[in-house]
Amino acid sequence: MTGAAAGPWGDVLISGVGMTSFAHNADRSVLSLALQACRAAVADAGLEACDIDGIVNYSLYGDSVPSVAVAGGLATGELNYVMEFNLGGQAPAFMVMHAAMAISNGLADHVLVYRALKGRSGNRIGRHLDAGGGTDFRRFAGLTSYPQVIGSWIARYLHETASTDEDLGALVLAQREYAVRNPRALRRTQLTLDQYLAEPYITSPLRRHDCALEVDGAAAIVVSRASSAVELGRPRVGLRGGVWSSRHTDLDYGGSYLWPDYSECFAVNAAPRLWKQTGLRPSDIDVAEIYDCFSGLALMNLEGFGFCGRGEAGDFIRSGATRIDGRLPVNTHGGLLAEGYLHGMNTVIEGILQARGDAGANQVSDVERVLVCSGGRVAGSVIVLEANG
Amino acid sequence: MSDLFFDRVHLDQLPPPVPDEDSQPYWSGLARGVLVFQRCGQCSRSWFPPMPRCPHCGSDSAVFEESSGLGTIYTFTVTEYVFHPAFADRVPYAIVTVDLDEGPRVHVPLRGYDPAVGVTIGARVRLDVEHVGGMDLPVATAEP
Repeated sequence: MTGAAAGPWGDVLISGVGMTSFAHNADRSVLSLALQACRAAVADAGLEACDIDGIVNYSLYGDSVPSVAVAGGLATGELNYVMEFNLGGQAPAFMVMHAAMAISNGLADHVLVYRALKGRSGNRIGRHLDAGGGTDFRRFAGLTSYPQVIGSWIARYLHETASTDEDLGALVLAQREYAVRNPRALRRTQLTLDQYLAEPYITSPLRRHDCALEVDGAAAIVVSRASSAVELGRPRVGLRGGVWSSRHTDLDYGGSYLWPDYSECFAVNAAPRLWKQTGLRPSDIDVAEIYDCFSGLALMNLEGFGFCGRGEAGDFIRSGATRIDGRLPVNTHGGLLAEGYLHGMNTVIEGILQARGDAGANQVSDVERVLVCSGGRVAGSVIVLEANG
Repeated sequence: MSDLFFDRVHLDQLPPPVPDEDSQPYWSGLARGVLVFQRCGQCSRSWFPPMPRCPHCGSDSAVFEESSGLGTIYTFTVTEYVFHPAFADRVPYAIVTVDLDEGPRVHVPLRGYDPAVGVTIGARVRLDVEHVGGMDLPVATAEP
């Protein structure tokens, strides 16, 4: 296939990516992290900061820096488009869609998307407890931290699907295999199933290896109008399509009082629309970069998007299907579990690198289409990236 | 020896609730020893937590009702790690997600959790209110 992808954003390319290294305690400010990643992404796109005319970003509980500061620090030109979202892990794929929308609607030519945070040494979002609002109804139950919310979901998933701790472990081990080969990853020691199972629960049925590793860092992506993008002699990455889905939400994302079935996630709502919009099927996807803030949510995502049957994700992984030479390599950076929790923006970047053939030791051969999803419970977004040769 | 769940929770280390126009009936209900939820006068469906309008049909005819406290464990997590210092002397403790017989789903701690017995999805529980440290908070206990 040549030229930009068909579909709603046929005139849009993902032109550049940039990331800081991931650290437990970065020795610089969140703004400095953001600027480092953004400068790298702009350079990777073959652009100058003055070419950037749009910025899209998200933060949660004020943990990032606003677009005004980033625009100032980068010395961009006049901005024609900005959008700041108050969102979490549902956001990264949606940010790319949003940048594409701004371009497709003629509002901007080169939109910078970024996520920056000190998720480890600073504001740990999983432990955020604002008084008032939704947390008032769960804080006193001892439901003070995100792993506990997810533990409840995954316990129901295991119950409903007759899945087991070994299935969760299969995902953790499979992703670790990629992380061992990924110099950016923070958890790079291969695990055995016995070692995994020997760890105690922190909150059942989750062990520490089932939880993403919070980090300090930043990641940035440049989305460009295809006709304005710089030709860099590498495969161009188009955006075949994407959807957002949220349903049955209530006062905050931690309660999930109204979501009926904790054994499935937003993917069951997003998938039919994604496949209809793109005209694709799960078998058309070559690589899947799946949101995995916690192991079990990645299993639900794999099942929800139809890559395997309900309750079959553990067997699917054990069959070798998600390995680098399998029929659907999954989370080729090691996932948020092992590379680090840059809130899923790093997962989008891994998908882009796979589509353009720049994924290093974990590069999958002959990648045409990559599915990237963000989010794993009541809300999320998903995009399909397409390598355009 | 008391077997109240909240006896070993340092409630003063948790941010206090901030009742507002929507949630005040919930806190007032607990002070009376009951858990309240809302039901829609239009579509008859029920829900929790308190919201100004029905999240099922959008109607503004929400009416507060008192729950019997009886329900079924939908799911649970047993927390071993001290995520918050308020619970440092409470671990391990079980948080159960309960589907009340009246419909709404709530998250409450399980009083009398015994690691040797564990927690069973589908088990019946009864919710009641503990009065500890100047607060009134819901807990679940296993129904015999």
